[in-house]
Amino acid sequence: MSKKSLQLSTGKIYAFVLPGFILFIFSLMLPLLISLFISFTNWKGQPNMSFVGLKNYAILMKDVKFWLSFVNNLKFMGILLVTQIGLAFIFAIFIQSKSIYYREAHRRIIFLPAVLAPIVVGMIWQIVYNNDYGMIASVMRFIGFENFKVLWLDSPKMVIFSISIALTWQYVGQFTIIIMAGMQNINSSILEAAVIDGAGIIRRSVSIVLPLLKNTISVCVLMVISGVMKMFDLVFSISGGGPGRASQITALYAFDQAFKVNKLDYASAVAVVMVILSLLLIAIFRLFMSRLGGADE
Amino acid sequence: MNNKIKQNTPGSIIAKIVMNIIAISISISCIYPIIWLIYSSFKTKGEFMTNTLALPTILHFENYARAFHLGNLVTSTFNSTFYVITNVVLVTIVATISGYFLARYDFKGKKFIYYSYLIGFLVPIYALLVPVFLQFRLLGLINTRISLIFPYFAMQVTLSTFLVESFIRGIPRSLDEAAAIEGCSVGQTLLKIIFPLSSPAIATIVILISLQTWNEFGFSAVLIRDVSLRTVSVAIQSFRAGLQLEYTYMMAALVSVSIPIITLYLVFSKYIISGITSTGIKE
Amino acid sequence: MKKIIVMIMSLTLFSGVLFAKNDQEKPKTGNEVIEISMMDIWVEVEALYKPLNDAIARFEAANPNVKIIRETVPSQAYLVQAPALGAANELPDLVASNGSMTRQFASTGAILSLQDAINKDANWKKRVYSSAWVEHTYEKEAYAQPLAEGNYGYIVYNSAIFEEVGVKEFPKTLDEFMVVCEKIKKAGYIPIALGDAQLWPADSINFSSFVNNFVGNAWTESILNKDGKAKFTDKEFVAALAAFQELATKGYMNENMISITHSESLGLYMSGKAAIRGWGDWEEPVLVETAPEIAAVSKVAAWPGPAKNAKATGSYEASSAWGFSIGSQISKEALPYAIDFLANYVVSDEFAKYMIEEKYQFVPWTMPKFDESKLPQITLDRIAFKAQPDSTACMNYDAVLDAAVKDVYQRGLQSLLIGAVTPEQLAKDIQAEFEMSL
Repeated sequence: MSKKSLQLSTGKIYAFVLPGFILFIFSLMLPLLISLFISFTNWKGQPNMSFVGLKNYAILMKDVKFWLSFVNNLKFMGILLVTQIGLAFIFAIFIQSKSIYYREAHRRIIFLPAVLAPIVVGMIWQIVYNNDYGMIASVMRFIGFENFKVLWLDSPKMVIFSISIALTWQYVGQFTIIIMAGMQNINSSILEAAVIDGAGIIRRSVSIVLPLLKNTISVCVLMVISGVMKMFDLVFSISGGGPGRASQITALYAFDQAFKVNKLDYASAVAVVMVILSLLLIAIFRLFMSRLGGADE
Repeated sequence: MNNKIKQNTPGSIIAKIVMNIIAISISISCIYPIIWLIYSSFKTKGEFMTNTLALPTILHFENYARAFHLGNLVTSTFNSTFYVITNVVLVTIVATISGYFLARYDFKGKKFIYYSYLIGFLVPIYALLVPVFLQFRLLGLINTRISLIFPYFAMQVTLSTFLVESFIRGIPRSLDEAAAIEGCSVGQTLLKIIFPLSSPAIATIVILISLQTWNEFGFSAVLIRDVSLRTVSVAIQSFRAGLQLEYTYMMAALVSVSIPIITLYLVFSKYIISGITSTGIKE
Repeated sequence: MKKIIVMIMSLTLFSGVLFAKNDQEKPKTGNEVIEISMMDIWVEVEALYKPLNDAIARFEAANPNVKIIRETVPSQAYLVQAPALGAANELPDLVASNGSMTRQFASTGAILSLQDAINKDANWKKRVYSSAWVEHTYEKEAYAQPLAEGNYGYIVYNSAIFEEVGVKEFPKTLDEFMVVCEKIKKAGYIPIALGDAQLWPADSINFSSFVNNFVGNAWTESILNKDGKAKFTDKEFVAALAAFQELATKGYMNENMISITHSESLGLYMSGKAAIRGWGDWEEPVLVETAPEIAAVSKVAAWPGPAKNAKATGSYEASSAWGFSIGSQISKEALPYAIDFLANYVVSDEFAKYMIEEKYQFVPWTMPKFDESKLPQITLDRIAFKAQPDSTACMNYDAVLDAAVKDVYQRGLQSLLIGAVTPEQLAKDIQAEFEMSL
């Protein structure tokens, strides 16, 4: 770097950078440290607290309810990896194609739900799924399937899937656009040929296109992983984690432990473990990708 | 390759029609729930219950009046707007300054700052609900006008910094070197050279911050008690409770709080799409 | 550089001004007017909305130097918000709390004990039924003034549907009850309407009284006293869970019982689609006003119990689940006024008269004379039902269990109803959490 003309004393740089950084530390890092501290105590809001060592973590390790919610997070990840990225890939091929009219309009429409508040999306889908006057039940009645009935939010087997549909609806546009951006780097004649000439070639070109999109897809996978770990409002408003605990996720569990059950000490431990788990997931995926990348090159 | 498409063989025309139909149905299924929500919000309760899909016969604007009254939406709209503005100003300033220094200078502790931001970016934000609550409880900061400013800042500053940083890397270094040679101080360079040149990136982060701050729910639910300080996302929660559930009022409220962001989206969709997309690219 | 500093400074100043403004608002009240903040769940459509406003008006007329600022939050939001505020020790001066909340707040010092004030005020102490304090007592001290002597967990059923399927009398045992449900189901109706989206209805309005026929009052008392005699794994409790689950798995409850709310299940009953519904006294005015034709054929009964070894019969809940407690952040000047408000304006004849004549509900303090002709038939039926010798008043688990146990229990009931957990397993889970709270 030619820094001759761009030299500044460290102090001067700090004068610029530190105010913002300190605010960041105060708003994000300090709460985490406080939580870490509280998680070693028995403090539930009473005037005095005492240290209990690793007790909260020992309970957490054996807490079936917590690990069940973590498994639910993983289930969401599994479903969303397929639905969001898979559908987005198909959508992208379509919208990218020069045979489609008003491509820009399609792009904007598909993307629209991504800007809505998750809490609003949760409430919308709650009405959509209602068995008596929900949108789906009404559409089915309208086209003659009077007896069509799915217990979208009442069946423990369905509920994660139902919520995943809502999530896919909200975010598929975002993934579509990312994948489209990735596709723009690929010679477009491959795509065109794939689309024009029918299904057989679509399949064949998928096997050509997909490897070329490796980096883009890996970005999408990371987004799904971190997206699911920070999910909260949508599930909160659509099912509250129910029926029972069938759709409870770690963020909701921490919330319940802190604010419903008032175990502030234990909830702190849950929050700390949540951070560790999601950083771990991302690290594992990165490692996996770099292994894969290494093998390629 | 262009010739190939322009050949109007019967097969390719049919393929074209089929593909357009599929594309249109994809778009419709994406937008229909929103359209349905909007027109249903103008119905009476009876109309909605008896024929859920039909269009309203008369537009019942009083649903909106009722929703604004019941949900205290005027106050909460003001509050959310307040948080959007403060957060945009705060994050934009911090992100641009730190983005610039991270992109242009080497200094002691740079790595530390960079990796702190990176960890902050990777931490699932709602793992912070309890921690932030505890911290604010200890500091007595719960339920004040400024309570939400901190978590909202934390939510946005990392990504915004990275977006600006990578944009500034693309600006030729010679420009600020020239400014420095002409005697501009760093502050002047930032204001006169970097701010204007990175306006596309800044526009993107401004809109992203606005959207996400407006939409936030968790922190607002936990840190705020007074009705007078409540934000829109918490205000609409109050509709799914009470003795009798009034779907039409609830839908009117949902539309009301979504209209501002839908409008923002329609006007600035270019920035929003590129911004949210780069959320991913940045990883 | 300077400009940026100016910008940052002005920003700080900007937020400083706002912060300061917020702070100034409070001390301003010190000299002239004393402000008392109050927060509760009784929004405009609820029965307690108006009598509380009336009590405030009477209080403010008598104390022109005091202002009560009331805020109502719908129950679903309140059940999240109030515990969070309690955990933050940021409760308002007067705060509505149910039994579980009262004890939780008391245990962390977020609310003040009322016991001294009650002991000093002979009139207050004499007037309120001593049984009403039980749910709001923590370590032998009362922490909240209960508001209603609520009756719930009994059954209201549509006798027209019963006649249609050829049933004359409400069944006394569970086996007979199942037979009746089967007939109703075959006739195309929903036998039992339930809406548990808020997590408490399956418990408070249904299971708390349902289980009492199996376990009896002494068992619940032992749980409440934590003396270790009663266990959730006791066979009677497990049998009740199993029977309750059977009602759902046999299809006697509406399929969407988890995703709809309690008020939506009321809709199912009032539209004549459902025959039976666990009931609360506050719903009687709604039924009479909204669906008079259904009200005319509605009758009152209790959950049937097991044919053998029933520890109680005709159980219904008599509970003063909700009350007002005083947040510990209250100022010294405001405290005596807040106590005066509870002791003389909430606990008052005006309040009681309104509740019984307009809302058909009793209060937990001595009642004034009231106009019985104002009560609808369904309320008279309920009063008659309570007076029957084989009716048993019992407690509401929602109000007596610790929050952590309640969370396991209420979410567990949902899992039980959808068949995701066995009665034995659920009993074990609840017992495990209960033992942690001992």
